Amino acid sequence: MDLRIELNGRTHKVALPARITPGQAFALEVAGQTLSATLLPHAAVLVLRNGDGLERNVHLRRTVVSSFAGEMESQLRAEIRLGGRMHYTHATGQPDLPGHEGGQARSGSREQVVRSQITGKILKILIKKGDQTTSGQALLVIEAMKMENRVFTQLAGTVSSIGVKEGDAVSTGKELLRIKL
Amino acid sequence: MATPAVKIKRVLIANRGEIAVRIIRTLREMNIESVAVYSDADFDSQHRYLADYAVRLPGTASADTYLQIPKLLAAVASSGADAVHPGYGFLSESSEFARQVSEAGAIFIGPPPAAMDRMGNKIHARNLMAQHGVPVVPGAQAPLRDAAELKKLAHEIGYPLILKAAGGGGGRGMRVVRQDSELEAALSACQREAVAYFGNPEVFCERYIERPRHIEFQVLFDAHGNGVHLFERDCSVQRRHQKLFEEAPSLYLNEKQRADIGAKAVAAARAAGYVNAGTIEFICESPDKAYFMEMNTRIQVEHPVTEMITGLDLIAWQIRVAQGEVLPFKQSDLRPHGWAMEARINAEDPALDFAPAAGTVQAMNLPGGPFVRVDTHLYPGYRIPDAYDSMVAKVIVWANTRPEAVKRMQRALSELRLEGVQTTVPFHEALLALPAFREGDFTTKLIEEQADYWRKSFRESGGDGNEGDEGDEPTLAAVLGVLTASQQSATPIVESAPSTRPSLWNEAARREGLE
Repeated sequence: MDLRIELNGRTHKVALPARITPGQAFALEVAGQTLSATLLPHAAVLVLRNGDGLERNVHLRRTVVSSFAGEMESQLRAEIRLGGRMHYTHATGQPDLPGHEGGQARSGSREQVVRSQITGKILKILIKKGDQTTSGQALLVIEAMKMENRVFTQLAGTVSSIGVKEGDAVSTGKELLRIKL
Repeated sequence: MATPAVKIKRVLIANRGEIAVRIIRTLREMNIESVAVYSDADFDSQHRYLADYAVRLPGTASADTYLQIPKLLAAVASSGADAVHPGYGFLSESSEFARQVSEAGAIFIGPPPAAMDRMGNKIHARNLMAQHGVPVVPGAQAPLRDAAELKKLAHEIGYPLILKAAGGGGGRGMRVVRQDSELEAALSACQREAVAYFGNPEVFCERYIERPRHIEFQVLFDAHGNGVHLFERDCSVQRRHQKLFEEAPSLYLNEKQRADIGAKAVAAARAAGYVNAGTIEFICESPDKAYFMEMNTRIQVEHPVTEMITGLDLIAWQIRVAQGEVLPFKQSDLRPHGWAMEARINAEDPALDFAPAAGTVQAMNLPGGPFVRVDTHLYPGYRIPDAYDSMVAKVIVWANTRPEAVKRMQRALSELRLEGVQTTVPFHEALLALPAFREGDFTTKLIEEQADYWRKSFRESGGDGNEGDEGDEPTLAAVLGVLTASQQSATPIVESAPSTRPSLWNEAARREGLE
């Protein structure tokens, strides 16, 4: 599979096999170079070889890939030890399909889903359906771990639906509401 | 060593989490049996099973469980425990709990209730300290009458000043004054707020310490009048009054200052009639101007750094003192050895303004190797409950020198793998790379003053500040490609958490803090 990885404002094309089997070597292509790689999930290591006999161990300390049904783009957040230091990466990855250039031109609705980033309990809902939102506005309050967490939006639009009510328990990723732009 | 007056055989730990686990470990080394208590939310918490016995506290909320004196006393009775260790937080500073434990015939492993009362009230504690020659923040002990009196006082203690409403707290009813011309307006505004918010027009005044250093001294007293200090801990790295990173000793103090403030800490504890382990917190305007802030009449979260530089197990000494043993060392026998640091690992996301991030530990690797200690109750598969504090682990390192301790902490954190839970590890790594921290030039304002630095560290891609290949971006992209693709493999190695939307962010504010 061919992927486009957006990192630090630059796009990198990465070619990978359709399936990666843990513990088995596979070929990987990036920036005109072919590498052999082996993924060891339990050790949290990706071994890279470029043919000079030196195995390069990339340590995957923490990796989060977020993706949603119906959306091509995955959000990547990873803490990777490589080249003698730790890298904190915020990136996106998506299939490199012909005729689908540029990360911005995503087809789809003008409706933005606001999801919970934490697990907790809805303490208060500060808006109602049909309300206009402005950038920086607080939408609701979620209680978690003895803290009150206000959820803000940066979007100016109209609240088109609210999927939770006060007192609801929510987990990370739960749809809270939608804002029509 | 003198023969103990009593021998404790079974200790009930009125706490949970990492401190319960840490106490059980010492009990085991001392051949004392342990009794855990656990709420319904902690049914699978490590302390429940690590202890020799366990008693359920029905309910989830702290108020229904770990703060319920009757339920805890019932557990003491049913378990046959002859002593109670309160840990930190919860009931650890409740003199009422200590009293009731004693009345029930068990030993409270902590100070006498009267000493807790003496130090528990801030105004009384301040007055007691002033009487015994322990410096307090310069200011008036009595409410201000008028602007003329304030002006006179201002010239005595010097600017900047802070005006505080008698009933105030949490930043309300406070005014900072920097010059004569601001005095009158500030006083009347503060008095108005004092009436409006607290129904009491009394306003006090003291020197305002703009960029304080938080230095605290560990003290240890036996029940026979012997007491020592075990040197200082520097806890100046704080966010909204929550400590995040501690070290011992502090670069801030030289040997003379250490001895001077240490002697004051011992005097402070003696004045309170203190027995057992406790901490005197000082707010420092400069290394020569350390003022008594408060006393914590219990073991502290950050006690391990003191253990590392002294070689003393503080929990063990708490128990020995509670048994009536005499301290076998004097101040002159004690010397700090090397440098220790502690990073608090909280289930919070620094990139989301430290929003809590409770979750399930999907995979875990704890750091090891020389001079590294991890205190935690986590295990793979454990779901962190969202009912309690977000601190889930402490990484503690020791080295001969501070620069070596920094390197060792970086190495240890690079090994700490917790899939499924976002933690404050990236904060600590950014801290360790910050020049102001490395040079020891920081105050409790470090986090707010360097806001841009943290934002850049947490929200943008970047490195840990160490030297390395700059031409690695394509390799990094390849690794990220493998991570994306592996989601579709038979054994996904990555956590697939739905959603982090850039359109949404959180602001966390702690309602109830642990020191």
